[in-house]
Amino acid sequence: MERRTTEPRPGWQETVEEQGLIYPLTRYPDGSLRPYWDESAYYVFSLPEVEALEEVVEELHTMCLAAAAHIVEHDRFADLGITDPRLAGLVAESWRRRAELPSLYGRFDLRYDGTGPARMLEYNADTPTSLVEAASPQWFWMEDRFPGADQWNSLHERLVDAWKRQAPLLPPGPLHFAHSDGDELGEDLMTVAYLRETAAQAGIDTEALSVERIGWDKLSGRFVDERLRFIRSCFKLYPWEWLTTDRFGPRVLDTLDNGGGTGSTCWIEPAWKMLLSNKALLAVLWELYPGHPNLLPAYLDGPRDMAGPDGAGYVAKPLLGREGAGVTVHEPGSAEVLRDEPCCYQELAPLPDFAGNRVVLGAWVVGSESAGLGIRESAGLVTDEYARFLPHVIL
Amino acid sequence: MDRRKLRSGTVVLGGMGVLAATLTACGSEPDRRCVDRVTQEILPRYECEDSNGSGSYYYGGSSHKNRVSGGSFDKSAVDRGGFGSSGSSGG
Repeated sequence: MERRTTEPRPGWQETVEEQGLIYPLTRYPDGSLRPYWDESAYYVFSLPEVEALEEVVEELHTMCLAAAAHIVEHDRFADLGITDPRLAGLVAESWRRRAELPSLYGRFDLRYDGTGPARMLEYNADTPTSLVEAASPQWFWMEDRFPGADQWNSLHERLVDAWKRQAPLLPPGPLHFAHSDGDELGEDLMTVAYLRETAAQAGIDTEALSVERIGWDKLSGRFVDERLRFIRSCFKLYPWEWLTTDRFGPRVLDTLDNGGGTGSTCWIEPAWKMLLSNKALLAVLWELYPGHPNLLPAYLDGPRDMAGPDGAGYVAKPLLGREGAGVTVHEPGSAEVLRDEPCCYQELAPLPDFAGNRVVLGAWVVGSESAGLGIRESAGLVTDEYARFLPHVIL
Repeated sequence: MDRRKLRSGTVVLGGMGVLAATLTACGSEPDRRCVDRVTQEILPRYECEDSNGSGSYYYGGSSHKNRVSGGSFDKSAVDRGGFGSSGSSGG
């Protein structure tokens, strides 16, 4: 794993916009605009390196499924902050019937510096973004800069295949694709547009929608789109914890198609993904696989021996935080600080420094298979909304 | 033997740019058909335009063999805005 600098392609901004990345610049608090898509540098991996990472990703995914099974079997929902017994019951049912429920993708965030083992930081398995740049502009960048070279990136093919494979599970009628209008950057919109495109290429009839425009028809007792057509199935880039707590939340539970036509609206990702996208998963994993080389110690009751003068330091992550929000970093030797909100306390694994940039690997899973890589760099230890995306190539 | 490839053979974007435009430009009105309330059969438009007509407007849904289904006689029976938040949903 090596970082190399280079001259960006002339007109790169227009190029990546045409390839679906309509947010190539990020506005900073001081008002300046800086590239989000950053091709002034790129990363180089060797094939054996990527093959080893692929194995890690698939093993981690298998372990996460085992942890989800453990949470369901041992009724550990309270550890995830799921206290409503009805919701817990529906998530458990969704897990048991998962073979009947379409599910698509997830992204592991890994700490990796090219030397030691990759360490799992978290699993975004409900509403992962940064997909478009990994699947599309990154692939076209390679075609321009390293024609015929290889890249850890079969995202596009695997997404289309995953839709084809799961099309028989879909209920009749178009599959709606809903983003949230709350995201002004267009990232959610383009992620959903891209996924809709992959479904269309798999031969699925699709419709576009936003979650704000979803209607509830009181007469039929069903969710409808803007033209009053039933929403029989919907891919939503909208977290389950909001879907179930918004004003329409009780309707979602009332009408949930939890596999095999058990309700009138089937949501993708399915409800069982709540088990994976919750930071409490990290503590359950460490409990089931203590000392595993690809995991970091993690606990729910506090930082334990990671705090104190001889402690390794720790990071406190709110159970349902996104894009680094609410994460606090406690350097080695820090005293124990217990947060008021439910958190997962994970051992501090500082992101590696490449030429002054903190690097995190986003390793994609489609179905249950490793599907590609997206690299983000940030200035600090927490990868937040100011991170930049850099392409990679296998040489 | 060729070296195993980890990349997509090809990436086809189809109408992504167009898609983005259509996603943002949503907001069309539902279809409106003149329908018999009991049989749900589609009637000539004058049955709804004339106050003595026997038809009622039916919104949305679809028609099959001259009968409608999947829509509603009452547009105002649909409640919206029950989902939504102020920020980005992804992560």
